[in-house]
Amino acid sequence: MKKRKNIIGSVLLILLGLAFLSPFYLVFVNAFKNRVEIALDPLGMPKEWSLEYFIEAVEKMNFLQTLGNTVKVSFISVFGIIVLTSTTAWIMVRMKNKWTEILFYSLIATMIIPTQSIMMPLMQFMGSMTDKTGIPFLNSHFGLIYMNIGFGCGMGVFLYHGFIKSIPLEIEEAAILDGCNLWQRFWYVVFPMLKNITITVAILDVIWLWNDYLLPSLALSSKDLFTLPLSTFSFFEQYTIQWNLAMAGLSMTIIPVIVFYLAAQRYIMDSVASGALK
Amino acid sequence: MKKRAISFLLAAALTLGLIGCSGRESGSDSGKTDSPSKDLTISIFQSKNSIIDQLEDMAEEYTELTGIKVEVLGAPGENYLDNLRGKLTGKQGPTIFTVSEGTQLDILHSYLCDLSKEPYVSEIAEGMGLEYEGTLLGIPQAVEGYGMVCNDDLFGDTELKDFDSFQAFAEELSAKDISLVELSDNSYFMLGHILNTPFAMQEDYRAYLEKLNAGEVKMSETPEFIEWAKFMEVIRDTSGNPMGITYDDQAADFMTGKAASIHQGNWVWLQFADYEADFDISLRPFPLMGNEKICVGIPNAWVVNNQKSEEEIEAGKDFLEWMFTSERGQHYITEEFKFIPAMKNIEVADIDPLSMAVHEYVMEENTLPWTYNIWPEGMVTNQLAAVAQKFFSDTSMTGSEFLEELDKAWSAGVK
Amino acid sequence: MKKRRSAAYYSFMCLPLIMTLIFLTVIVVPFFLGIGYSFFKWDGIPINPKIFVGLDNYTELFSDVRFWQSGKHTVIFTIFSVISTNCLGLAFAVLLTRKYAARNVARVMVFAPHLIGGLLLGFIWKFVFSSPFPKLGEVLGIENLLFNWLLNEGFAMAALVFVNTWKMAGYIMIIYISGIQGISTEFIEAAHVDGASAIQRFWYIMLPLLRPAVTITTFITLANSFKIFDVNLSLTGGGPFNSTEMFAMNIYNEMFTRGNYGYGQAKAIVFFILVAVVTLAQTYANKQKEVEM
Repeated sequence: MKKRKNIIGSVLLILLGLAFLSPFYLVFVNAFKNRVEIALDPLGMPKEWSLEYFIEAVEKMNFLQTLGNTVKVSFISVFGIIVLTSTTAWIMVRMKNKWTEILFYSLIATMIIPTQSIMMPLMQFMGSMTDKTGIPFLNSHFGLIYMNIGFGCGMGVFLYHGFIKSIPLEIEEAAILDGCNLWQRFWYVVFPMLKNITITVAILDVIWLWNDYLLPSLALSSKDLFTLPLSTFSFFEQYTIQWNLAMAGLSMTIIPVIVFYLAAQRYIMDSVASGALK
Repeated sequence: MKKRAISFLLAAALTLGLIGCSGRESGSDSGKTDSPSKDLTISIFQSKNSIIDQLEDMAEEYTELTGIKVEVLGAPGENYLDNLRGKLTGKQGPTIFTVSEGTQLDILHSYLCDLSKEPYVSEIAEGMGLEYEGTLLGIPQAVEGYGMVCNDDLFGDTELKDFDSFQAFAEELSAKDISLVELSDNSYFMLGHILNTPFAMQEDYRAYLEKLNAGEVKMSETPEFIEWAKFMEVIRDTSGNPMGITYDDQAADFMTGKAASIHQGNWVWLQFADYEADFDISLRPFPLMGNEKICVGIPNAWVVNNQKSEEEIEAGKDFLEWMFTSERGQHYITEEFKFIPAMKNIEVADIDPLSMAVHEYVMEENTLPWTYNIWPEGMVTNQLAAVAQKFFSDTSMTGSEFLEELDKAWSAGVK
Repeated sequence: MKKRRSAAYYSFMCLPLIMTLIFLTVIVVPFFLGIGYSFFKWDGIPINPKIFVGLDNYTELFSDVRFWQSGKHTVIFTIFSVISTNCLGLAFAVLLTRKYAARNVARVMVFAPHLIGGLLLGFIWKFVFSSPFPKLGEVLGIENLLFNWLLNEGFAMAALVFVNTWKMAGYIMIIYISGIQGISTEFIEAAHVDGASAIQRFWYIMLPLLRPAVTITTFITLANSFKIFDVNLSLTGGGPFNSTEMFAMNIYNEMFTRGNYGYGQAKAIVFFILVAVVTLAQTYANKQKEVEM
C-alpha cells in the first residue's frame, strides 16, 4: 500500500511541478535567446546558450548597485516591520482597551485600502513633509523604508495579533513574578515563541518588498537608488518588450529570493523539529 | 539599566540606520533649496526608452563641457505620464521633460516655460513647435510618420490605389496564407493609428471633431469612414485577430514573410534590427479613397519646468539650446538618437530607410496630420479599443455596425 | 511600584508609538487627503485647478454603469479566487506537513510563483496563453479547451482566477503550515488512538484548531482578490471588451487615463467602504468561532 501511495505521490508531484514551474522554465530559457528566436520559438531550448543577454542586462540594470539597494531596502524595512509590529500587536493583546481596538481595526483597514487611491496624496504629503522638516522622504532610501513600514504594518500586526492570542498568559505571569520588566517579558519570553510567525512575516515581506514596483517607482527618481524591479522594468517599454533582457533581469532578480526562501524554510523546519520534541 | 540600554540601542539603531541611509544616499536635490552654481544639477525625464543610454552619454558630455550636472532620471518604462505625475506631485519634478500634443499638453501646460524667445526658435520647421494658445512651449523632439510598412518582394509590382485593388490583392495573398496588412493588440496599433486617416482626410478636421463631439455628425454617415470600414472588414477577414498579435509578433510576422505589410511607423525599424531582411522595405500610404499621403506628426516636444528655481530654468534652457544648435548636440539628435529632426538647421543623418522615407514625404509635403492628439482624453484606450476588439473577434459584425458602435463609444467618451 | 514602570516601560512603549506615527503619516493622512479630494473635480496635476463640487462625484457614480459592472466582475472573481486559493493552499499545507521525502522540494515549488512580482507575472502568463496554449491545443487535439483564453470573455476571467491562484496558493500554504505546526501533535495522536480515520482527524480536530489561520487566510485572500490590480492590468488589461475590468482597474482608469482624479477618489472611497464591510464582517464572524487556548 505504502509503495503505491508513494508512486502516485511522485507522479502527482511531477505533474504539479510541470504546472507550477513551467513559467519559470520559460523565463529562464528565453533569457538566452535573441528577440527573433523568442518571437519564432518561444517554447524551445535556445539554439545557443549565450550569456550575452545576461551581461547586457547586468550592465543596463547596473545590477550590482541595484541589487545592493534592493537588499538594503528590503531587509531594513522588514527588520523595522518585525520589531515594530510584533511589539505593537503584543501591547494590543495584553492591554486591550478602546484605543488599541481602534488602532487594531484601523491597521486591518489598511490592508483593504486600494493602494492607487492613496499613492498620489502620499507623494504629495511626503513632498511637503520633506519641505517642512528637511528630511528627505522622497528620492531617498530612508523615505522608501519609512513608507514600506507604513504599508507593511497592517499585515504584520494582523498576523502577530492572531498568534499572540494563542500564547497562554500563564507563561508571562510566571515571568512577571520572576521580576521581568516589559522589555524582558517581551524579548526573552514572548518573542521566542513567535519564531514561526516571525519567519513567515519575514518571508512574505521580503518577497513583497523585493518585487515591489509601484511605490519605489513613484518615490525614487535617481537611477542610482533604484531597486531591481525598477531597473527590470526599463526593458518593458511602452509598446514593445525586450523579452530576452527582461527575462535575464527577472531570472537574476528571482534567484536571491529563492535562496533566501530556502534558507528561511530550513529554519522553520528546525524550529518545528525542536518544537515537536517538546 | 540593561533594559534601558537595550531599548535605547534598538531605537537608536533603527533611527540611525534610517537617517544614515538618507545622509549618503538621498538623490539629487530637486531644486527646493537653491544651491550655488557649482553644485547645480538639472534633471531630464522623457518618454522614449530607446534613447536613454545615448541621452546619458550626451548628458555626461555636457557636464564635462560646462560643469553643470545633468541627471537623466530613470527610464519611464510603460507609463510615462503616470510616472511624471508622481514626480510632479512629490515635488521632484524634472527640469526638462517631454510633452505630447493633446491630452498631455492640456493637463501640463501650466508647468511649461515660454520658450518663444529662445534664439533657435526660428529654425523650427513650419507648424511643428508645440504651442498652447499661441505661445511656444515646446521644441519638437523628432518627426515620426506611419502608414503601411511593406515588403517590396511580396508586393511585386502591385500598387494599391483604392479599395478595389486593396481587396483584390488581399484575397490574392490570402490564398497563399499571407496577410496583406497586420495590426497588433495595443489600442493604438489596432485602431488608433489607422482610424486617424479618415479623420485627417476631412476638409477641416478640427471643425469635424467639434461637430462629432457635439453629436452633430456621425462617423457612420461620413463617406471617408464608411469606406474605411470596408477596408477594416477586408483586414479582419484576411489577417489574424490583432488581439492575439503583440507588437513583437507583428514585426516577426512581417520579417518572416507571413504578412506583406504592417500598419506601423518609422520607429518600428528598431524591431527589425535583430532580423536579417532579404527584401526591400518601403513605406506606403494607406489607400483610403485614393489617399497618397502618410500620417506625420510630432510625438513629443521638449519642455522646461517653470516650477523650478530661476537658476535651474536658465540651465535647462541653455541645455536645450546646446542640443539644438551645437555640433555635438546635433550629432546626438541625428546620429545617436536617430531622430528625424524638425529643425531647419539640422541635417538628416544616415538613418534607416523608413525614417528616410518619412523625411521625403515631409519634404514633399505629402503628409496628413495626426489628429488623435485632440481627441477627448482616453478615447482610444478606454472607449474605442473595446469596440475594435469586438469587431475583430466577431466576424458577423459588419463595417457599418462597427461604425455605429464606434459612434456610441465616442459619445460615451466625450466628457 | 511606580518606579518600576518608568524607564523600561516608557522606552518599550516607544516602539508602538513609532509604529503608530509611521502608520499615521503614511496611511491615515493620505487616506483622509484622498477623501478630501473626492469632493473636487481635478485632474491630478498639482498646479492645475481644483474645483469644489461637493457630493457631485458621489451622486454620479451611482449611475456609472461601467463602475458597477466592474464591481460585478470583482465579486465573481473574488468568490472563485478565494475558494480555489484557500482549498489549494490548505490541501498543500496538509499534504506537505506529513513525512514525505520530497516535501521540502514540493513546498518550494508551490511557493515559487509568489516570488515573481504581480506585473511581471501577468506578462509572463499572457505570453503563455497566447503562444503555447494554442499550440498545445493543436498538438493534443483539444482545441476547445486549449486556445488563447484571453480572447474569450468567460475564459479570460478563468485565466485571471487561475493565475491569481497560482500566485497565492503558496502564500496561503505557508500560513496554514504555520498554523498546523502550531497544533500540538498530542491532539492528533489522541484522536488517532481513539480510532479516528485520517479524514475525521482532519475535519474534526485539525480544521477547528486551524480557525485562527483560517480567519487570517480568508481575510488576506478576500482583501487581495478585491484589490487585484497589477495582474489584471498585465494579463488582460481589462479585456476582452472590458469584461475583466475589476474595481481597482476601473478606479485607476478613471483617475489617470480619463483624468478624473476627484471622481476616481470618490469611487475609491466607496470601494473601500464596500470591501471594509465585507471583510470586517467576515473577520468578526470567524473570530467568534476561534478556539482560544
